[in-house]
Amino acid sequence: MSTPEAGLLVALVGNPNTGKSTLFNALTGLRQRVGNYPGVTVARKSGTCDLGDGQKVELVDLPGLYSLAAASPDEQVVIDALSGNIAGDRRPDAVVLVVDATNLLRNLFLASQVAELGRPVVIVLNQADVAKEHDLRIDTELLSRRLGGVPVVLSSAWKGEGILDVRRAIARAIAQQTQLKRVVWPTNIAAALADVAAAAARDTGKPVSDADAQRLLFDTNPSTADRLGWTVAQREKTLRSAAIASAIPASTPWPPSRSCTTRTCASSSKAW
Amino acid sequence: MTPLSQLLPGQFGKLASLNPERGVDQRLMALGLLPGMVLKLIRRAPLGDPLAIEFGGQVVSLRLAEAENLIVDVSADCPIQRPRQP
Repeated sequence: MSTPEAGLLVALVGNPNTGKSTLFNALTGLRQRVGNYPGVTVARKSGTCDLGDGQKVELVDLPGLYSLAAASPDEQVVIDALSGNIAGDRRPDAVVLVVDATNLLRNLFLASQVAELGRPVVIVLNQADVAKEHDLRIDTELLSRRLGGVPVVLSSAWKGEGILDVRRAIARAIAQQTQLKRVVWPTNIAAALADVAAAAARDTGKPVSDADAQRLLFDTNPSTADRLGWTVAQREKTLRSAAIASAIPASTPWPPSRSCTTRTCASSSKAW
Repeated sequence: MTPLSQLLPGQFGKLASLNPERGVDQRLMALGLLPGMVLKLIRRAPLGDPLAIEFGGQVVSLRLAEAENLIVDVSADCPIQRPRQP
């Protein structure tokens, strides 16, 4: 858990089985065995990563997950780590999003949520060798432009290809503070998010980030509210208020106007 | 409108709605399953449960009870979404 010096901290996140741990080993030079059991990465693994220019950062490998709406303890670890809410741990200075190059549609949904964290981001399209076998060609420059200018690099961690590109991309992300393009919410949802953030901040006396406000509004799971100390009654009361109710009908079934639809439109743009 | 659980192996359906109050549906949405997306029932386990379904270039296993809650439109005519081939 200890950090050698107060250097920069970089976190690896991504869907399960995208090769985060393999990439981690390639970047840090640690020789750890990587199993193929889903959810293998439960402990905090960290190592020192050279960015190719002599600069060294601490790299931390996080458990795989599909969404920042936590459904299990290991997913909660990722959310807490990314938002700097783990005791004794810093908020990461950059996030490396590891993406399975053979399924951008599913993987980039997580990107749309990581964008809200407001940290510099690098996107690594891993398993590029498998994508090539599938005859998939990915225009990394176009993808980078569409995602707001974050570095997008291809790699095959298992074959050791593209690792230097990843190191350089991390250095660039930190130097240029490259931010992922954020989802533009419809006005009623944006207003509801602002209301939720304001109410939670007022009730708890703590600042509420954009990412937290979304978790508070969109998730049925109360973990973010619990962390902030926002009670169930306070949250319920806010979510029932007029502005928010108009943005998100409390009743199900669910018309396709609800938030996740918009979120996915943004993350699965027609570019791919 | 038909429950996903009633599709035949190989049959397609377009998802009509999800219920985000159900944890399973939230999970499926995180995997990219959203209204309007085309699903295909790949096969059933020998006793009819679970089912293998395909959407968005991936195959996912669902319990029969979970598939009963997903309503699809089988009359919608469109091919399953796959990663685009060059």
